[in-house]
Amino acid sequence: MNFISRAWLYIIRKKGKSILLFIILLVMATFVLTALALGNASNAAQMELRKSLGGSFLIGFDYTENNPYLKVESVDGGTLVYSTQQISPELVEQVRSIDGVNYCSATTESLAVLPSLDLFAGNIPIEEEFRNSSKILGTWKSEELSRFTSGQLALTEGRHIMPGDKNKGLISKDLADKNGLKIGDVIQTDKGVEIEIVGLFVPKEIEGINDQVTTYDKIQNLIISDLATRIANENSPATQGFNELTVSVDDPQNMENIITKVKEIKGVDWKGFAIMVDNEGYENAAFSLQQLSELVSTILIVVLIVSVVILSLILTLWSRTRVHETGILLSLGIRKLSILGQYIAEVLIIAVLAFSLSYFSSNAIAGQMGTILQPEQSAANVQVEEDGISAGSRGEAGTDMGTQEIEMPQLQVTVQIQDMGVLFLIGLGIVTVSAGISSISVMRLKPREILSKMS
Amino acid sequence: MEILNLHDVTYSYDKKKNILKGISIQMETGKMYAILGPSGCGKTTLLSLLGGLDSPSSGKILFDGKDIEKVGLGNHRKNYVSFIFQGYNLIDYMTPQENVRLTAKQPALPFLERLGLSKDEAKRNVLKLSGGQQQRVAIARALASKAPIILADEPTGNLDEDTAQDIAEILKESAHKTNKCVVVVTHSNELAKQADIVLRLMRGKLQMEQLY
Repeated sequence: MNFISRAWLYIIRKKGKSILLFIILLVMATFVLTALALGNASNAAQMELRKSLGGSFLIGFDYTENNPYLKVESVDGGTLVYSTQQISPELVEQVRSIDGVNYCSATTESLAVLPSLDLFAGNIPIEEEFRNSSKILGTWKSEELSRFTSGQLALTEGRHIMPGDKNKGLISKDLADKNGLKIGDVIQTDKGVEIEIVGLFVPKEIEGINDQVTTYDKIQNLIISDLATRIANENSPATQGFNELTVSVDDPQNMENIITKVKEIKGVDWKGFAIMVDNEGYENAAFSLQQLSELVSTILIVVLIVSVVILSLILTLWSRTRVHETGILLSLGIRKLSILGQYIAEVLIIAVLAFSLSYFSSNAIAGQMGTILQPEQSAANVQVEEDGISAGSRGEAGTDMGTQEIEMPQLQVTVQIQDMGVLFLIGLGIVTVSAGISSISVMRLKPREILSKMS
Repeated sequence: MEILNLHDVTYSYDKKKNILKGISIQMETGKMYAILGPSGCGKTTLLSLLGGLDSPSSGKILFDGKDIEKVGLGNHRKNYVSFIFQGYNLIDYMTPQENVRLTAKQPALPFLERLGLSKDEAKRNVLKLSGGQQQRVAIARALASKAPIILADEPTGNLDEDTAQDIAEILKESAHKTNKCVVVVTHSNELAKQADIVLRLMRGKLQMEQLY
């Protein structure tokens, strides 16, 4: 008779012990599976939150003395500060190709005088020289501009600005209507640079009557062009590339990794740039979910330790009652390994049954736990960076800090097949170790010693 | 045919006092041996050494000319020896058939029926059988194992006179008809009378007794 047959006979004939062990293992497995399901649900919710919130970092000039490329020049009675190492379209292209990067919003902006255009007037008085000026935003790919990706602007006609474009531009539909312009028409700056209109955009909102805004900051007057247009119009060493690059990533947790990869790009001296991470929105929103994850991990560890201790104690107590049986089996020439195999197989057979049935019990409990935990997770107020309505004041990207209510992802607490796999792997390991440890004291005895104990 | 050979075997529990002192004896198949002696003289210890449950402090035990230590005590117990104990030592969650099948690959029922158990009794839990029936199951297990040596420790100690007589005859028959070497440790003169050779263990030495 092999050890499996002996184990099976023991299980079906010693019903009391088998049922007690089954209940212990079922409870243990239910706790473990519930904790695993909660952990997975929390991780999935965090992942969903990360995907929905995203994250971004800004690459800009380092305006401190650490930047060896920084130049300060006096121009027209003022001071011009710029970096000779600027963000090239090639660098933007390389950053964009990194896995996990969603958008690259590369910009360089300044004011340009547009003598032939009738602009929308702002309500802040400005000097005469700026009255016919508007902001020109040089970009790499306008569809990846944060103003477009955030929905502040929407392209309604034509196409976006693409890398490699020269003397192309987008204007607002309002400005086009006001000036009788259409796609294909050309506007000209006071420096003679021509901009062919290739697309029209519509802002989601325009400034209200009470909003204080200058003419050149009005969103309806904004001109989005390519880098070549900006360089031609400025004709200055200060404008040879982009000033800022906002990199949006799909997973904030992957941010550090992406930044590391960015810094590994060859041919760039990072002493000239500063990188600023904006991860606050995600961190605020994910805090409660992270706490849940930590709680679940702690519960899981405690459950595992308690399970091992309880199981080992019970099995040790039971193994001492089986000295007689061990002696008989040894005296019959059955090897210690076979006897140990029988004792372990008994627990394993019950464990497999208990672990399988725990799928249903843990699903029921996990569902309840999910319902209990859900109300606390329904919504959270997070501080996020928002694009302002106006085109922004000079030298700024036109962003404001605001509070946004983020709907927290639903906790889908269900037991997955992989949870069962983990349970079987961990559970059967624990059971084997516990049964093995508990039998060692008996197995280490010589057959004669066991027979002496028997008598 | 000589099957067991003890060469100058000594045994001590504490390495100070030898309970067995230089025992040498040859045992043959087809014979039943009875070992008599007072309590605590080392009879069960001698049986344990013969069965490979323990090792002698010095000396050798040869099975079929081979040192059982070298063959392996587990191997010796598994293939060459069957035990019958005073307390029957059956596995309490098994039926008689299952107890016999622990060591035997052949069908258990013929052995049990030969020893007087019915089919119905062969399927009951062993704890629901009488002491005599349980000892018959233990003997059936020993016989079914095909081991050439049966070692019995007070096999009739817990049985009434009639049943003890039956068991003694079964053991003798096993030696004579199935050509096994049966070694019985006992206090019972009645059982010893059934043996072909009676040995007495006194002060650690084994002496051959006159046949009854």
